[in-house]
Amino acid sequence: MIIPILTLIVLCVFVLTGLIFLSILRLRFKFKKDNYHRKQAFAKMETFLLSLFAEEILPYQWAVRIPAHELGYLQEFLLPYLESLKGESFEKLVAVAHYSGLVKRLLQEANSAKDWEQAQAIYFLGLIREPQVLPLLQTGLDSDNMFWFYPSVIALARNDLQNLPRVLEALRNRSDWTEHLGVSIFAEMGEEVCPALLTALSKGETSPKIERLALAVLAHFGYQGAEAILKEYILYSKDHELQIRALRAWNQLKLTFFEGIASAMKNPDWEIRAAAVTALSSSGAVDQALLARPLLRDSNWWVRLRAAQTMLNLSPREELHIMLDNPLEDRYAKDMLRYILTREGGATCVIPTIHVL
Amino acid sequence: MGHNILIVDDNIYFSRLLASQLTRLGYVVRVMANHEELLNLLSSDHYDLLIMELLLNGQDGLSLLRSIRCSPYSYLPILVVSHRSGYVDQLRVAEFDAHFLSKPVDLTQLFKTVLIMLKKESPVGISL
Repeated sequence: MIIPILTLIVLCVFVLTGLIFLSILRLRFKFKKDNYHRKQAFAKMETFLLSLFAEEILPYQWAVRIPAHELGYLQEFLLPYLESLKGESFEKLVAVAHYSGLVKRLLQEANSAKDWEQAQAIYFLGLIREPQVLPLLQTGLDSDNMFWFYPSVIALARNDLQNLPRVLEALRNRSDWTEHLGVSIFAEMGEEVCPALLTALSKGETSPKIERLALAVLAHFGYQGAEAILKEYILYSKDHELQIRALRAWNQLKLTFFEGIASAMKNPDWEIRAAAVTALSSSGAVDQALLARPLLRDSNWWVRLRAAQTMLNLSPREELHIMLDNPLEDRYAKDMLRYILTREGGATCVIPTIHVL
Repeated sequence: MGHNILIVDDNIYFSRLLASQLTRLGYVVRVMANHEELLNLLSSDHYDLLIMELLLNGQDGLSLLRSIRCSPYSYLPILVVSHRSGYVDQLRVAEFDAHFLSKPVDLTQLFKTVLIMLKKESPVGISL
């Protein structure tokens, strides 16, 4: 009795192993086949793309040659080009997406219950600024589902500057976004977003996270009109993070020196002192170089480092050597000066002036 | 014979498109997806222009710019076409005496810039 049962078990194991093996083989074959079709479709599309840009064919002529089952490949194929191009070339590709029926299909997928499919559809439609997707994006902003929220907010930002208050409100109401993501969202809107952000800050923005983001965006675009608001933050903000951001933005914009920087250099917070002395350096105020000298003796290593870099940028080299030779000079200050001079010497590289344009 | 142009961009679709369009304009173009062998390549072949992206598979394009400017090929005109388009990045690129265009880029504007940088009319006379 036991022997037939054992034989049966062994047989079952054999059959199961065989079935698993066959499934793996089938999956592998399917994957290879898909990959082969994908490669074929991509090669064909690349030929059409080159002909399109060489003005040998029109978007419509390419679109009609795309079978319905290759629309997924077309979506994948067009994406890197749409992300990298603008102007006439971009419009041509958008026309291909419309004529081929891809946009129509993506509008259906944007309402799909599958998160990933929906996110991809929304991202693509936002990228090509498809107006029909706008109502859906507004709903996406209120969604807790990050697969819907992120592509919606990026797509909305890309579509129109008028959506700025809505995007700001959405970001204000949630905490699961990083500053990096925030900056990239506004970078999509272009420099035109800066005056609107400035207005939001002047009207007394209530969320410190939005304030930090706005300062980072103004610095990202190098918006010169931000000078007055940055001064206000450096002088009067009670939030040390915002003061630091404002000083960093001042440094990035290479704005000229003002008294607020000197006051910030005396702040008890070391990060503010470090940011302030860096802002002094980028302001190029040679006549204010001596202000950095006391910070060479600061208790914090980073502040001493930034002060030494500032001295190096703003003071004559001989003055630094006189300080190094002075036996009464602070030991830590001398160590930092020596370090910065050695480091600067090692990384020297003469960049030729070519004047290519 | 046209000028030699080298494209370094990990977006192979974009660089292949660029290469084909520039070839159509009469330039000799070579494409690289990363910058590991770039300095070797510059030593073995002559190039009149380098078109590069700053974001290269996690590699830092700015250090690449620095190493080119510190190498014997420091004279090479460089056009940076990048998704990293912040003010600070543009300033840094300018410090290395390179020209900057941000992505998404208008191809016509890009070709015009290439033309001006090479200080020569289009070899096949295509009006841009």
